Amino acid sequence: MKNSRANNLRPMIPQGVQCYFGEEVNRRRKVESILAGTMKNWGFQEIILPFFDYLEDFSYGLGPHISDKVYRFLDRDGSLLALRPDLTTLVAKTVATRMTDQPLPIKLFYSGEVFRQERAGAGKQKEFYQIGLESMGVAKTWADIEVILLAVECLLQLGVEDFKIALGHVGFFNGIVSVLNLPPERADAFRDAVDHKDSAWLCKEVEDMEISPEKKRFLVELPNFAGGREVIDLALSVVENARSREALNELGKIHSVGESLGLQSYLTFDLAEVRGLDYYTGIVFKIYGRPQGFELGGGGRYDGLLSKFGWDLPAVGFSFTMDRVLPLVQDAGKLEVPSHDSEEYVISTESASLSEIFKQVWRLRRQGLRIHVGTRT
Amino acid sequence: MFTMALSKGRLLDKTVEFLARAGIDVPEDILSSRRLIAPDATGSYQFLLVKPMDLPTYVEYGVAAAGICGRDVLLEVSPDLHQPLDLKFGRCRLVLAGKAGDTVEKHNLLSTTRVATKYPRVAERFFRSRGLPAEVIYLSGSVELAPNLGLAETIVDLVETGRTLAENGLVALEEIAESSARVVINRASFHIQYAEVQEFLGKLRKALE
Repeated sequence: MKNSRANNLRPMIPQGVQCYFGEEVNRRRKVESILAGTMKNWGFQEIILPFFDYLEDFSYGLGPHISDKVYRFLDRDGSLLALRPDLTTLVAKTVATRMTDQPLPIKLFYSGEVFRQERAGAGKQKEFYQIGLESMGVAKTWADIEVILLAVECLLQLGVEDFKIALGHVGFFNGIVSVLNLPPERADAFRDAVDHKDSAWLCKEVEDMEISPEKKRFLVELPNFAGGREVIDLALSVVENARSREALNELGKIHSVGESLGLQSYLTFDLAEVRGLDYYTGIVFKIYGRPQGFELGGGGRYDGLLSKFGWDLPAVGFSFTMDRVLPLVQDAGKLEVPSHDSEEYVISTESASLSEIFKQVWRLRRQGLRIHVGTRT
Repeated sequence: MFTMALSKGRLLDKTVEFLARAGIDVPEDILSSRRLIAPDATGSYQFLLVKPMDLPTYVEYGVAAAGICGRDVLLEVSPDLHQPLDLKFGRCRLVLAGKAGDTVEKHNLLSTTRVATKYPRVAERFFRSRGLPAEVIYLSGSVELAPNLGLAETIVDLVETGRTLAENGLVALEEIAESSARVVINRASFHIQYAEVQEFLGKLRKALE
């Protein structure tokens, strides 16, 4: 009986989309509510955002590597629209255009699906669920610290403990590159090599630069500036430019606060973290957790975005990708989703008149019982 | 336990030899291909034996924290991985090859040229960067036959000594990239297993000196 329907159905689904049901839904909702609850406790308010907006508006918040992955379509008046590839841009737009009378900082959290035309694989889906937050209006390090601590607390609240937040700072790398005076193409190649910690390529890149041998050695060693607090101190002992030093001092402050709270084991540094340089303006971080091979989420400071929407406001935030966090939560065994089977009563439709059945069922459900109307088997 | 992926084939013997010099002994079971996954005698390393083109995938997904593969593979697969060390062995070149006297431009004056390769993305990028239209034909082996059979005018392939090319009446027309064995590290493992990664890289660096 059941199978006979299959012939008329289209079992195909587009690559990269997903649906959830059964226990999986309960688990996702539970994780979401723990995260949302934690963010609320820290003074963040929820914002619900539109699924699509003008393509142009999204382009402000996306690097060139994402803008060609946007699902776009036409509005009736011919304007280009896009399915949201990102939520931060929508928050920034809303704050800059609708919340200008609010006291600062404006602290908002959000959750929902984003859509990107990613090549399938490498842990990427075309539709994925993010939950994240933005703190807008404070340019000081304390706002960075609050956001990083909250990222730590979110994972701890989920019972996840084997994770690291790898901190970097855009100012550190930019300070070094600006001194080198590289043409844009060379600067991109240099950045790419640093991003992949590709020392062999860096050796070639620095070969013909007109700088001292010590400076060359430092540039080749740049990818190795990753690890604990000692990395900051080591970098401070060799880097001279003011911009990089300021960045290092900021990272040092963040670590000191983490340490005073006993959270230093969750913090690590990667000064060669150079992703998203066109977008981020200060600290950047990636969140990693065992045994997940991909980042669970990430964030940073982006002081330039809101001005694109007419309000020059500094901002810092992060987001988690739900599908990458969830397996860790299950590993951590913290998700006790109660099973309701014991409260379930089945009332057979064969036993009496329909009026009688539904009168009874109505009364029992009003008493708070979980009633299932079905056929006795 | 630190899981490491090794490439089957061309690089395997040299990789094992190099690791031994670094004080890391790959178990016999793996070398004889009796098992595809096995721990070393000390229990601190676990090895996976995989096809070269698959290796970056294992490391990118974090199934293995690290791996050793040729740069040719990295250029083709473009995985999102750290590539901290050039191990300098397994040197060879990715080249465009064809019949002697050909040039890249020759076939493209009027029409799209055909190129056969195990490296479709490398080939695609190479021709596109020249502004030349090319039809890339993916083959999983015996690529050198293609020009003689008329399947393609040229090939993009890995060349170590050039003997295979010569035996098939082909010459290297242009070098696309140099290749040698590289260490790759998963981005998450780099931080999560920081101490193990540093110890591992330290051993390899020492062996390189």
